[in-house]
Amino acid sequence: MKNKLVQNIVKIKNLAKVYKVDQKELMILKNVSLNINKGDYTAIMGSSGSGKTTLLNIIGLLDTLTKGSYQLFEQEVGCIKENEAAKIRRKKIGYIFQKFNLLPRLKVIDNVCLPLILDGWEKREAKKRGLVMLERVNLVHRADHTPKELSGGEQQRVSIARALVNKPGLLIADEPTGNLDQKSEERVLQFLDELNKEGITIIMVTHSTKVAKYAKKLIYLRNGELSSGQESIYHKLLG
Amino acid sequence: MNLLYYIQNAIFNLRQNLIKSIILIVSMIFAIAPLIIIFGLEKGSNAILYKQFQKLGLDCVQATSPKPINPAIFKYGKYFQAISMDTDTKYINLVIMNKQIPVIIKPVDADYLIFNSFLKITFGSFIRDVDVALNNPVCIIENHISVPKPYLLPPIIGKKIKLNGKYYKIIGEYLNLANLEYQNSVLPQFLIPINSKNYKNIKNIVVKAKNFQYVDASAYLLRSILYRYQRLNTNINIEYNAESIKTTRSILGSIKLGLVIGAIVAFLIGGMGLSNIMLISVRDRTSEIGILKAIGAENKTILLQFLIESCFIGLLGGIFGIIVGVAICFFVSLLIQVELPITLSSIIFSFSAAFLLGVVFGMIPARKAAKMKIVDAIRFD
Repeated sequence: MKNKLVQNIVKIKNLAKVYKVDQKELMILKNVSLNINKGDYTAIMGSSGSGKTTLLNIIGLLDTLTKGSYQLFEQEVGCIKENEAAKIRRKKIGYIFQKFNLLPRLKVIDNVCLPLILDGWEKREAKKRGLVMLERVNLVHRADHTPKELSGGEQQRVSIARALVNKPGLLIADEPTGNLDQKSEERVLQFLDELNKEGITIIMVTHSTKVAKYAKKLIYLRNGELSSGQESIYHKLLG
Repeated sequence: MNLLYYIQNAIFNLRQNLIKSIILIVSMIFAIAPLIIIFGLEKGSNAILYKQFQKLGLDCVQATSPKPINPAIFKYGKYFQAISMDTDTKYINLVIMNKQIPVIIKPVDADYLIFNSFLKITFGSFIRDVDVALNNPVCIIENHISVPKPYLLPPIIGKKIKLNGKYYKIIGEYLNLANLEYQNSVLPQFLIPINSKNYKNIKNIVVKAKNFQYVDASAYLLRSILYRYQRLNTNINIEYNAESIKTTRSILGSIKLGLVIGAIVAFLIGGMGLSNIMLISVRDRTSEIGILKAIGAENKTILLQFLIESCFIGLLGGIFGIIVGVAICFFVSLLIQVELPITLSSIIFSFSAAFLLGVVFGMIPARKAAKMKIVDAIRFD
């Protein structure tokens, strides 16, 4: 009974991803099955080329799968049309990238508002919500600056504000602290921790065990496969 | 996202990439300015040919009938630029200042001057429609070597002269430029308004087509009118210079074809310039496209973004192209002394062409941008 109340955010079964490079097929992910529930804070780890970013991209609907089934927010998205995928990305998912991926030509506030503008919000309303998000990451005083005028840590906080502006159910973070100094790294990780405590599901790719320790669950990928069998892929890092 | 947002974005992007925008607008100018110039050249060459055509009287159609022509056909005058008739002339011996001068009295209508471009009014005025309608006794005399001098000076206006037993008021004087050098061998012609008595003897009628393109249509019309009013089925002879019209049409056709080919080439060159620079712009903004798509932009949003940008450039380039085209036409007109007319239709056509160019040649880069894979675009440096 209790299990039924747990909402599956991500449910992947026998996922495979194949890339074609110079007429050769390269299998990046094979036979990946996993579940991520609402409120989970999951880290995906693995060595370079293990397929962790590819898996994260597929989970975040930035890439498509080759085989298998994938349910996101209890909706089958394995063969979803691009426009529907865009809609889910816009309304339900927030993205934090290693290189921040802010648009350098836009002001900080415009970067934060962008997902709302793309969703058809009035500019004034979007700006209001954007400022609330900047307030949350303590950067409201930088609203009218361009990203270039900000430090790496500040840029990543802006990108977190952008990821949160649409009140997402799932936060996807690809090496969120990869380009940050130690102080900024801790600040960002603490912030992600706070967000998770508020109930936001987070999936993060990292190669650092120190960063992964902030997560409650760990998925380890080796050569495109989950390291420890089929279903029991979660490891408690604690201890 | 609404149109205003796309337009604001397009302006923002154009301002951010100023050099690229300037190159884009210049390539648009290369595409659009020739359209204006070509329109001007086409209209200008038409006007020149038409002028020559008129000078030679090739836009006239002449009808002759063995029986007098019914004057009622003159009410069809509105279908032609002018309509005139030939009537019997009369030779008289005029006595002026105790001198006997043989002159020709020629009844004419108000349009006579239009058909005889070699007649020049030196002073006074020509016979008007009202003079013909009211049968006014007025006359216009020829500046001729055999006419005594006092009759060739402006104070003569208003004086009366007795022609064929009837007094006529002199209203003007004209010079026949065609026989200036051999006035000794021709008699002076005094022109009087054609009247109903003369009408009875009309055997020859000349019409001037409204445009030289309508010469054969005018001939056809004149024939139909004459048949209707004359109730004759034979012997109406219609003459016009069909061969010259054909040649002129073929010359104009060749000019037009050449100009159209020129316009298409300019259009394609400009369009390809626009397309190429937009493709570079798409490449430069690949990572931006990836980010936008990652945070939820749909393919159509990206497509519209670039398409509206290229249309905006098209319209902006169109405005500059039109300005440059008009300026070139103006200076070329001054330089070669031939008017290259700018018409509203040529401006509207060029502006529409600029917009179309933006849509057509902006489509390839816009589609390329819209179809980019997010993961590839976002990693692009």
